[in-house]
Amino acid sequence: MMKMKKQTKKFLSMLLTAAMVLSLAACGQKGADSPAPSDSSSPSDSAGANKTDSSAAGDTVKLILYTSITGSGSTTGTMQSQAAQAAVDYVNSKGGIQSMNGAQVELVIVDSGSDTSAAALPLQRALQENPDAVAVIGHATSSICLVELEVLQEYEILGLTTSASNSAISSSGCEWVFQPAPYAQVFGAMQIEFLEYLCDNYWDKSLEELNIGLVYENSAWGTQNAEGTVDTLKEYGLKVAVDEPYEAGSLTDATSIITKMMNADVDVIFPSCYENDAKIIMTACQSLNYNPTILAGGSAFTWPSLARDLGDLVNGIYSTDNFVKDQSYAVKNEAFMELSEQYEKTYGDFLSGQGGPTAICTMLVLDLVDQLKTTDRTAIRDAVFAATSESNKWMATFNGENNMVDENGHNASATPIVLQWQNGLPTCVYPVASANSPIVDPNTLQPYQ
Amino acid sequence: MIQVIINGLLIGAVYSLIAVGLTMIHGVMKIVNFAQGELLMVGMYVTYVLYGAFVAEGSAPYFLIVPVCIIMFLFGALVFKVSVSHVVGKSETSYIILTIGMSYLLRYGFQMIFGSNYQSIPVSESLKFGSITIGGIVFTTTRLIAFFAALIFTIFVNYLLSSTDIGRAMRATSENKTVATSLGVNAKIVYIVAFGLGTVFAGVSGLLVTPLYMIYPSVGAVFSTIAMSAMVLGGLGNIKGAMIGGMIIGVVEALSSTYLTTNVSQIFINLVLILILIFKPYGLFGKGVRIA
Repeated sequence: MMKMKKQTKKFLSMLLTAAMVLSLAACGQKGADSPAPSDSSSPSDSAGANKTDSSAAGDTVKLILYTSITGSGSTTGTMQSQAAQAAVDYVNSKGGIQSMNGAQVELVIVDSGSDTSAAALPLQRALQENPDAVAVIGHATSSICLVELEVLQEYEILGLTTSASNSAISSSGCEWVFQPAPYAQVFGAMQIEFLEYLCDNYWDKSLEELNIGLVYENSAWGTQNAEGTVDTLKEYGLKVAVDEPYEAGSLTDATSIITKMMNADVDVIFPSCYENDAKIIMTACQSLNYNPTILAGGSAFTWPSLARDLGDLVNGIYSTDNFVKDQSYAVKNEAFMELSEQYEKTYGDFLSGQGGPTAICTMLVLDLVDQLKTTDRTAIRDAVFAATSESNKWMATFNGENNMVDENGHNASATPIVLQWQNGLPTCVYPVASANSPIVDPNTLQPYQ
Repeated sequence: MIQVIINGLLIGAVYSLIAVGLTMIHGVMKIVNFAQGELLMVGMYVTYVLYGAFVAEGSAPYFLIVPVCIIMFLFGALVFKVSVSHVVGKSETSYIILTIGMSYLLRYGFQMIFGSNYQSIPVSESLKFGSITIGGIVFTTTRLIAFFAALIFTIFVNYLLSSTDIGRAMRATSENKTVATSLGVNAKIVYIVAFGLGTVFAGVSGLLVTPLYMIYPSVGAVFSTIAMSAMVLGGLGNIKGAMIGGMIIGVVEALSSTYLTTNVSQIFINLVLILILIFKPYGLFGKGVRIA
């Protein structure tokens, strides 16, 4: 009797455990905030598990989005999947690929996870299951791009790395990669160039008189950003007043960092970090009544979530990025602006520096498929490599004067932009050729005179 | 210098509160809960959900402390009943795998429910960025509240353990379960209460840090490691030790971050831990185990 009671208890415990796990899973399916306006794009279809009958029939054009749906990079993954889906929906809503009898576009989202060591396998599996895919959009994370290259080469399919900025990607010798974003090193240079512009035109201090503080996570991205800034400062004969790297993901309090910046009379802080750390840094500044100019190195400082959290305090913050939705090159493209509006209606957010290039890359490939009337991967790659700002409006939408692909597969004209948060939205303020708004004083929020 | 130490004490209080919960569980059951950081994350999400449902935008989340405590206690009791209870006292090591597994289950389970996007609660700017200046020393409002809450909760636990029947039963079970049971103590109830209270501490820590940090599934990981260091530094199973251990870690972190670099603060925390363990192998307030 005792034994039976014990067994029953054990069974009940196992049942409860199973119920807990299953209820979590079920809730996740209901509540997950992934976009998935169409069935084909939900993250559960990762790794190309959603091969459909229609694609077998040949009346669809398949495109793979390779991004981090899970793990630490999933914020980027969400922005990218929404942007790619918005682009696909835009094309489908206009009647699909016109030259191919209105073939509908199907987006296959492949979750790389955020761990570099295991990232290649899902893409390999997706390419095996989707031999008719025309191109791969992504990855946006440089470290994952580097493991992706071998797969692209093996399967002979073009990968467009959206906002990935590590120069090792296009100098790797891979013949199947197009890297549209500027190299990471030039973002730091752009920060200094912009500061010099502010000093020359609006500020009382000269660049030499400014105290500059760096705070960045010690990841490859954060370190490379900081190195670019330090190298440029050296070229100008300037020094960094405070150089503060920190262990990525371990920051619980930034009051020490900010106290150090205050003690060194830092005028401008260059932060390169992700959302939680950005919040901690900005909170510490405000709590200690310290209002330096913030000129960030992209990432969280350009994303909608930080603006939601900081509220009005986001206004005035500057950041470099590879894209902002109102950069002049994007505004000139009417189709892009229409797509951008549709995106905002659907997702309630703007196309960020992660989403924008994803949408442009998606549109570039689909436009060339339409022009070529083929899904042949080699033809598509060659067409992308031959495209220029003059010959293709989507190529012209990336930020750069004369965008074209160099012999390494890099957009030779790619230039970073400087955005500023104004009225709760990021707007392009520099370089002058790309700017869409006047620069405002971060303290008064009035345009500089 | 004083400002730096104050900064350290204020963040240290948060570490202390998590470490006190960890210590309660270890003190009674002799197991280290590797999922304590994830329980903090659960507390943050519980606060997030309750805030969205019942609290006006811009208000402080501290009014939710009672429902958060109740929900976290029940959650802790459920987690204990379905999983931890099966390994308590049965194996020296299986609890390690079990609680590590639980931490993954909670992290990815909550990712499935809420997604991996960063969330935050819309508290007022005066609370989020507010500070009080006394004699030139700046006290950030949210951390000051967390500091006093940590003190109050630790005093409460000390009172509970020393002056109530359940507290005496917990201490008796901690010292010798067999003897305590023979004297009429219901060890199962004691374990459930201890694990539930440990979970409450993690949950309250979660509530207190919600205005300070973004809410995301892996937010607990960083606190988990620090809380364990605080517990070991103060002495395993010692509430006062956990409290002081957390404060010491906070101050060491602040001093090394300010006067050296943030990158080396973890090195100094662990250096202090090693030094203390060399001279006090059972931690600052820990007692050695008598071997028969």
